[in-house]
Amino acid sequence: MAFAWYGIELDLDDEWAPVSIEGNQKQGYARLGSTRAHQVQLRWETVTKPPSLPDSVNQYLNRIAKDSRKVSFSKEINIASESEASYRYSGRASGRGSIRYIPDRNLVVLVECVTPGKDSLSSAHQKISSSLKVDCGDLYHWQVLGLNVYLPKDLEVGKRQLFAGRTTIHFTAGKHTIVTAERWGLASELLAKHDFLEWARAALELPRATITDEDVGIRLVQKGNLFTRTQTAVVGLYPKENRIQSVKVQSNRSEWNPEWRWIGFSKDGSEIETA
Amino acid sequence: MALDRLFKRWIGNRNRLDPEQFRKARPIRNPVVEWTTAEDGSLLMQVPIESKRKWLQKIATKAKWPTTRQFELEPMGAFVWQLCDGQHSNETIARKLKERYKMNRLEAEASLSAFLQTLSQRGLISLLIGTKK
Repeated sequence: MAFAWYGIELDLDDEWAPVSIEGNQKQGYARLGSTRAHQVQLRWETVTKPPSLPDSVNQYLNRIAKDSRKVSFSKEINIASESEASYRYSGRASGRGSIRYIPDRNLVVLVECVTPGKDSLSSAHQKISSSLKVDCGDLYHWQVLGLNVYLPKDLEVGKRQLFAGRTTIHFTAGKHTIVTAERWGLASELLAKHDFLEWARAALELPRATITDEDVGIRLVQKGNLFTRTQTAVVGLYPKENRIQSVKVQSNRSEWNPEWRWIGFSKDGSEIETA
Repeated sequence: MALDRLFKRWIGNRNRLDPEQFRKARPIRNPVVEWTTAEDGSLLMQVPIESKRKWLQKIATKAKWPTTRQFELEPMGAFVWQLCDGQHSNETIARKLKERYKMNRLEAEASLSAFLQTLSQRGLISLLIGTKK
C-alpha cells in the first residue's frame, strides 16, 4: 500500500495504515501505524528559502528530548548533502528519520520511523525513506485506503470520510470549486445487484445527469442553473482491484473539467502505473 | 480516583479484548444453528427459540408462535460464517477476506470485527481465546 498526500508519496507494506492526518498544503503531518506497534511519521513544511538542515534536525530533536525528561536521551545526526540529512535518537521512544529539502516545491519533508521499544529500525527506515517521492508537476498524487487519484495541485483538503469499503475526500479550490474523490470497494458485489450507470447516478447524487460512455469509464454531466453549480464526474471501474473510483467537480468554471488521468487512466485507457 | 480505577479494573474492563487478543481469537459457530446455502452464495440460518421460563414455553406452543428465528447472510457474510469453525483465527479470516474481496487490511479487519460483534450479540458464535501463559 502506498500512501500519498499532497503529492508526497511513501511506498509502504500492507501492514501500515493511516492513524492521523492533519494540516494543509503548506504544513502538515501524517502518522501511520503498523500491526507491530511501529509508527511512521511524515511531516512537511513549505519554506521561503533553503533551510539549514542540521539546524532544523537539531531543533526537532531538542523538542523530542524535552518530552523525554527523566529518561536518558541520545541523538546522532548525519548530514549527507545540502538537501538531505538523517538522524537517530533514543529516549522515551526510539526513532530513526531523514529530512529532505525539495527545491522545486520549496518543501522540507521529514520521514521518521518510531518504536516504543528498542527494536532495530534501520532496515524499515531505509526502505521507507528511500521510497519517498514528491510530485512537482501540475498534478499531485493522493493515495489512501484504496483511493488512488491525481488531482490539480491547487486543491486543499476539506472533509474526509474513511469508512470500510468507501473512502471519500472533499477538496476545495477557492470558494468556487468543490472536488470530491471517492473510492468504493467490493465493486463486483455492488455491480452484481445494480446496473453500473444507474448505480453511478445514484451514488454520485446526480439524478438529472446525462451519461456518456467514453470507453475508459463513464462521464456524468449535470448542468447547473442560476442557483446551482454544474457538476461533472468521471467514474472508472478497476476489476483487478475490485473497486470503483470517481472524481466529481462542482464548479461553474470551464477549466475545472475532470480528466481521465485524475483517476489514474492515461489517454489510451490504460491504468497509470503506481507504486 | 483510586476507587474509580478499581471499579474499571474489576467491572468496567471485564470481557474486553485487546487488539492482539482479538486477532488471535478463533470464532466458533453455535452448534444449535442450522443453515442452508443458496445458489447465489447467500446463507439462511435457523436458530431455535428457547425460553428458560416453562410457562412461557407452554404459551408459545399453544399459541403456535414460531419456534425458530431466521437470519440471512449475504455471500460475503456466508464466506466468513463458513470460516467460523474454531480453527481459523480472526487474523486468518481477515487475511482470507482481504485476498478474496481485494480489500485493504484495515477495511477487512474493521468489517470483520463489526460482523463478528453482530453475530456474537445474536448468540450465533462465540470467541475462543487462548489462555495467557
